[in-house]
Amino acid sequence: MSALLDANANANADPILARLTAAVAARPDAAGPQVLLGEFLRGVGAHAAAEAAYEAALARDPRRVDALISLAVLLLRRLQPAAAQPLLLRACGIAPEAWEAWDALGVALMRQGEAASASAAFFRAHTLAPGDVDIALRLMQATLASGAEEAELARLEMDARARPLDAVLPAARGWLLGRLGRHDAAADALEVATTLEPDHPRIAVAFAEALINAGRFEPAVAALQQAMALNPDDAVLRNNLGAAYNRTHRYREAHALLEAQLARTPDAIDVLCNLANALICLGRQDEGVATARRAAAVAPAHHLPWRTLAAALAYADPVDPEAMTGAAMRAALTAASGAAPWVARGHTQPGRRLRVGLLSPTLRTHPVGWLTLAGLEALDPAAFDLVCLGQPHSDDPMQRRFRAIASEWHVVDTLSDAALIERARGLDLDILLELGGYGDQGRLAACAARMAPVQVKWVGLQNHSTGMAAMDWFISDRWETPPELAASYTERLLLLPDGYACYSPPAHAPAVASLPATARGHVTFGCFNNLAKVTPRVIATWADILRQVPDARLVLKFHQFNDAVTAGALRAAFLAHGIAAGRLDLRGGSRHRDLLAQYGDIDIALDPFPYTGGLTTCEALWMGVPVVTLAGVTFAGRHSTSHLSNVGLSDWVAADTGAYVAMAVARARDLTDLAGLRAGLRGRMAASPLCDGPRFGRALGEALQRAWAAR
Amino acid sequence: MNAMTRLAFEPPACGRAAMLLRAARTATAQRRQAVARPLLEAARALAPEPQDLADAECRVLLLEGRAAEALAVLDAALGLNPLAQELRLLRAETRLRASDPAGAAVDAADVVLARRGGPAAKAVLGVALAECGRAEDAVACLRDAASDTAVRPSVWVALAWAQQALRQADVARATLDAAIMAAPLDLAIRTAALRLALAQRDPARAAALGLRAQAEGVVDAMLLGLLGHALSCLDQPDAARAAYAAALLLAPEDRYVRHMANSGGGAQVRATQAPAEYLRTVFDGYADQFEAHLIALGYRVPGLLRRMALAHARWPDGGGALGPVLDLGCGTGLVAVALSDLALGPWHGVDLSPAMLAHAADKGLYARLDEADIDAVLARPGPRYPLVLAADVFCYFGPLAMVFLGVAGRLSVGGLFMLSVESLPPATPGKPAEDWVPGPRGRYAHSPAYLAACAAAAGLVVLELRPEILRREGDAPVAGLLMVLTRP
Repeated sequence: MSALLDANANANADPILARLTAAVAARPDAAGPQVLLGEFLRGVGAHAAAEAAYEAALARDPRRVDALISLAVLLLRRLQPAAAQPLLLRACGIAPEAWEAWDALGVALMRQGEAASASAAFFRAHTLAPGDVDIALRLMQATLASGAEEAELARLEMDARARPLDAVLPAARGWLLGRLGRHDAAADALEVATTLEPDHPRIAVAFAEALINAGRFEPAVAALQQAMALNPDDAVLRNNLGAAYNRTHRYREAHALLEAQLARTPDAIDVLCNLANALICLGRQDEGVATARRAAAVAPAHHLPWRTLAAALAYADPVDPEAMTGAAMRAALTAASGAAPWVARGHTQPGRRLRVGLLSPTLRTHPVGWLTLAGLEALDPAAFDLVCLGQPHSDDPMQRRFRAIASEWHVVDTLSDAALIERARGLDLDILLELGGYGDQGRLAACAARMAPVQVKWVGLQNHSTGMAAMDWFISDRWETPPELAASYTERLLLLPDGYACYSPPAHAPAVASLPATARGHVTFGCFNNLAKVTPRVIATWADILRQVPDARLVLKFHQFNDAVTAGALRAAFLAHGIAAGRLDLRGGSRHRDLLAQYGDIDIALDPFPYTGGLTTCEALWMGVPVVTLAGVTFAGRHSTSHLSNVGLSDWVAADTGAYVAMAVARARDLTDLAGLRAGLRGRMAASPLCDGPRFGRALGEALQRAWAAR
Repeated sequence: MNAMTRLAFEPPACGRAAMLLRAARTATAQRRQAVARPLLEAARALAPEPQDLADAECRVLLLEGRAAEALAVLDAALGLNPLAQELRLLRAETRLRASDPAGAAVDAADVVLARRGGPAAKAVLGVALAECGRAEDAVACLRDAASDTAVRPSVWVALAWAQQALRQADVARATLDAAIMAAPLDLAIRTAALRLALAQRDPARAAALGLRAQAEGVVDAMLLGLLGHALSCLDQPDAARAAYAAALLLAPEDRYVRHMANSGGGAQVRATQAPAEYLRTVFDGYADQFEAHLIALGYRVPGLLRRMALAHARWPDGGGALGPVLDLGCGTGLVAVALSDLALGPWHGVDLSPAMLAHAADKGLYARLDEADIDAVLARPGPRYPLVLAADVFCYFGPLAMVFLGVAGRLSVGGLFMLSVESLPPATPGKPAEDWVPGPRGRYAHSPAYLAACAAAAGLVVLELRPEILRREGDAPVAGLLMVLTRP
């Protein structure tokens, strides 16, 4: 009654309610007026009163299907599926053609954990209303929960043959395939659906999501734009499009879109974090860090802002290793997976091969592959059993190499953190090597709950300490982490005798070109890293070098320069230091082989700081181009120091920016020395520990045994 | 809202059908079967222009490897509209795919004569003529096509091979040299140049081309494998091993490359079978020269098998046929030719290389030809045969026990299984005898004891097992074993 009074309080509703109440009073034995009253009350949100009206209607006519369904739906809203179920069964019996009844019955059954029965109910609803995407999706959910997904996939395929113009069938198939982790097939099916129904908002969104999951970011951008046009108020889509712009190196568009979205939802942490990443990639590191800090201030208990901040701080200048570790610790503390606490294994069979898990979404052609594979391939198979936890099989050549050395391959990319933890714990691993970090769909957060007795961080966004109590070890070397810098790591340092990584030179690398300065008559400096690493101090330092070597040129090759406006901004920054645009050659991204070939234009590479080159430094050296670097204080700040020292070029490491400038200028003046170094650099590197897989494999094996023994 | 008003708001069905066909064609060009087929079926439901539908359907069918059905679709469409030159050109390409170069040449010539189709038609005509053995006409067409088009690697490659067929070795080389200059990043041209050099018995040039491609970064596992082959022909085993090792990085699961990378260097991992993909590509490349090459090598196996069939088969009384024959690794069908006058058949040939199968089909002796892996064929249920042949194919297999078991499952009671293998040299005293070993060129050799053991394990009885000279390589005879088994 109080609900009715609430409804009466709605002034606009008064006259209608009065008429409906009068109709009920006029025909006290009839069900119809009660149903009408119930519908009205439900419409104005007076759910309890509406329930009472429907019950009254059913007391007068127990076969009123509309009352049965409406009352059941209200009960479902109140999370009383068991009460709703008999009403719906009755409705389905009385009116077997009523798809709403079957649909609601499916929902009631699902909520009670009866997935197989729910699947049957949804199937009836889907058959009666084949064009309803929502029912089709609920059917897929029930199918998935009941473990009958393969049969359902076959049914959908057969139905699609009979009804080729029906977009719902491929949409449902795509959705189901996506949930099964078959992302490419899912994207294909949803592409068919969206071609058949280009204006369907739900299908457009599902297609865009499938493309993102399949890692096909370029088409995902177009699909997200289409989905946004159909769902203009969808904040999630805007954020996702911003993220997709970031993934396709369209940072300026990401920045514009996310800024606009932020004006509408100023406290949206996902938008803030994507914006922070876009700003950093545009070379606006301070703004990026400030934006990440703002996200952390808005939601200090959330994981995402802290991991974004920890990653952003690696680019900040001056860099603060303590602050990085602090943010990483907060990220680790907020990485709540809901997993059960780790229970240590009682006993391990002595002398058995150590089962080493490799956890990474990038066990493929990626810096993780280039810097780990040669060493992993050389690990003694009699002592180590490698188990990969990664993405579905692909034709990527490096993924094929990982598959060739792994005894098991587990696809974990569709698993939640809790499910991943459960799966990994079930694998009985001895050591887990984490190779993904927080980037590129990395699963570092899941390590916080521990998945193996010994957990080790190695490569894969390894920019500094993980700050994670459950991360036992951190693979490094004496150049990366000299004793005086070890204090800012929360892990124990697992120091390798040479470098921390082992480089696999690509088979498609062109031959080393002769020194370009000899033919051109002037020196060309170059940097092929990433604009994100080019801070104002880097620009000032490079400008200083260009002033002191007045005929020199600087080639900068970053993805960001595919955008003319971004390139223009960098030219302006150099102009402010007195360097004319004509001395800069700004190049956009290109295919890897072409990128390597362009080192033929470079005499000396200039490393950025405080985030130095990692794989990029290895590639420059392999192409015969030595790198001037500045030794930093974080792990990311000393990658080049490690690689250069590992090939015997520690005299290319500067201690401060003054020494960096002096070194670059002096090297540029000694072309004979430079040409000699270049001619022998590839051979020297190939013979060095940096490229010596067997030597690295032995060292890594010994280090892992050490970590295992000290558990 | 009446029907007329409604029409104004909905795109007409033919417009939607055309849109769906366009989308299907785009997906076909991207080789995405799972998208192309459903969109084609959706378009069909809207009754689009028959010619557009035939065009799209043919392309999808070709993508699905269903060339015969694609031809049927085009035949029907051209029956309705004989002047549809685009469809005719498409049929020419389809006929090429279906091993009908003569038909392809007729279609492509029609299009060229009608002055439609431009350089693309000339290119198809040139390739068809080359496949018909009319190298001179082919060269004329392909040269035109190559000069008209921007750069189509397949045209350059076809032109070079046609020139090679005319014994214009220098011209063929120059064609591919020019093609490399014009398209330095094109892998297909580099690979073709290497193959041409090998076909011209010029491993030094092949190696130089391969090393240059490697230095310029235009490589894949296939090219590096061919480079390894060239270097091994030049007796540079270390360099060959390095090339195979580089190939292995790009194709780590390729057992053949792994075996080649390790051969002679204390193999840690021994490949047990040459990889299907590699054999398919290599034999596709050599199919045209295969028979001439084997005949030049004094290839004797078909004749020897014929003699063994005459000696062991229980020929039905009254002149009836022995029954169907399964020819494993049939290649271009040389064995079927040698046995073609015997009362055998129908013949069922199996090979990995479509180009080899095309030559086999030309002989008109096979009732059925399957492009398939032998293991896969034997693993499937199927009819039993009174005669199973495996001539010069087990040199691509290491262990044979499973294959023998598979054959036993497909052999009639009393049926014959006749095979040839390359034989192991006698074991070095003091070293354990090997069952099989990979040889320096990636071919496997087997021991007689091992063959007998495999036969026994499969429940087969040895009727004959004897050494034979299979062919000559250079001046050296290649020793082999011939074996006849029966299922009791």
